[in-house]
Amino acid sequence: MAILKLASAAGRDIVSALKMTPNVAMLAWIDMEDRYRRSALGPLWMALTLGVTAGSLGFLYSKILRQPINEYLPFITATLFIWLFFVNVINEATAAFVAGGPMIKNSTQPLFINIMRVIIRNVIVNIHTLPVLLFILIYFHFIGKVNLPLFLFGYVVMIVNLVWISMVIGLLSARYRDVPYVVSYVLQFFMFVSPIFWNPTMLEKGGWFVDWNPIYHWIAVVRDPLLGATSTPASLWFCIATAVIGMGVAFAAFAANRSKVAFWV
Amino acid sequence: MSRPSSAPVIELRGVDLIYRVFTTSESSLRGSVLKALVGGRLGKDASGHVVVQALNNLNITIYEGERVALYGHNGSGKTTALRVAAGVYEPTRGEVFTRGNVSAMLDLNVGLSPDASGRSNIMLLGLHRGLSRKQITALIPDIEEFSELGMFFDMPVRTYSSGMLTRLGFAFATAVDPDILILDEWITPGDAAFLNRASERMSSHAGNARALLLASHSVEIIKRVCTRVIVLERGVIVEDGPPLEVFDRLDSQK
Repeated sequence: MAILKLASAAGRDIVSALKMTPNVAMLAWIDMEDRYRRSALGPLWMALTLGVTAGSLGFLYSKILRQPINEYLPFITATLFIWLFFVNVINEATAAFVAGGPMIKNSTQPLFINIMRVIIRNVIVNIHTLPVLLFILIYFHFIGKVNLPLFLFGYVVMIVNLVWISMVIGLLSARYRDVPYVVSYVLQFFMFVSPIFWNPTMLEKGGWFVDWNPIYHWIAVVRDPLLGATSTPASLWFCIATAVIGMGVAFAAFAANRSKVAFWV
Repeated sequence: MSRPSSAPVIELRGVDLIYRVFTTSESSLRGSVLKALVGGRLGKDASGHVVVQALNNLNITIYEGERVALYGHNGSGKTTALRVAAGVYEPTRGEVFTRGNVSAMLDLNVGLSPDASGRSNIMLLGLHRGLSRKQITALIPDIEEFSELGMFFDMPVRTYSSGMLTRLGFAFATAVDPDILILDEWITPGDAAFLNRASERMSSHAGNARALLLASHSVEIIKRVCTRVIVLERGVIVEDGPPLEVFDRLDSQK
């Protein structure tokens, strides 16, 4: 009975937050404007970050890894396009509830809004970097190979995964203030052990830490359709499964702790 | 005690609010200083965590047309009680009923962007409340007029005096046509006249129950604005009645 009450309160929170989507989108847009207020290049900085990182890493690593530049540069650009989004969402999710603290303590706004705001804000950032990706894909003749429906499907699945990850990390970070440091360390660790800068096809043996690396699959199902490759059905099913199970876990955690967050932040 | 013969609009029934405090340890110096200073009861729960009992079996019924003040010194539970009534905090035990839509203005600065104009900030506040852009735009002329900010309505909010900020907050909180208006102690005695106008504006709107609930430690404001005062001490009601009577009793106790 008590569990049902908690779950229905959590459900109402999420539904009323989703009903406020246009408002959250506008607030996320205002976040962006505030962030780049008085900066000359403004949102161009986001595109520049992707362009410069992908460009310099592309040239250097194609030499180190002895990969042809016309394949490696599109690969690294597509990877970073997704990876930067992924990492930014998770890093900002650690502050989702803490940053929303004053609002949480002083208004009856649904809590889930704080998660939506992080995701929408970063989708806006991600869209700003799209021109760089498109330029590289067109320049290296990859654009014709892009599987748009599969890419969009992968992107949506990634967002669903990011929503539950953000809920869990947001709650944990509000309760335990060491979590943000752990999260940023773990992300950095995964950046090195995941096929971010290298393609798993470059591995001859010992691919188990790729196969069992959730971050690899979450990134791959979005990246592969951009490069004319198809992700393995195993990757796709893995991502769908984590989305479903993760959502369940995150919902339970959200329901159990929703009313306590106001005292944590 | 005389009560308006009208329907209750807010009911707190047997409300307890107990929460854990993090980063303070009972044994530390800071912990013992806190214990001496904080009005609410600090204690330990079964697992040894430090907890505060901010509200203790609180029973409050507020009727239509009442203007009620919560009075008490720092840490007496005024703001916590307001937050429970507004639905921000869920009570640990007990129940809260409200009839009608509640407009709570607890902290004037929350959600405001200091660099943006009063007009843009109304948009921001409205978005946070879940109003559509259209709805907010429709409210703006009314807010602009009622706040009497004149040219300042289009100036950055950081240039506002505290009185101007208060007027902007009032104008917004009452423009959404609430049944119940809940205000925390950001009102200064200088705002009392404006607050009277604001609550008259509220009751002038035809329709449902109207009630005002505010927290204050200013006797002057309470006497000028409110019809009833509830005195809290350590999360417990110690006095409840018309302000003049209650403050007379409190004075004679000193």
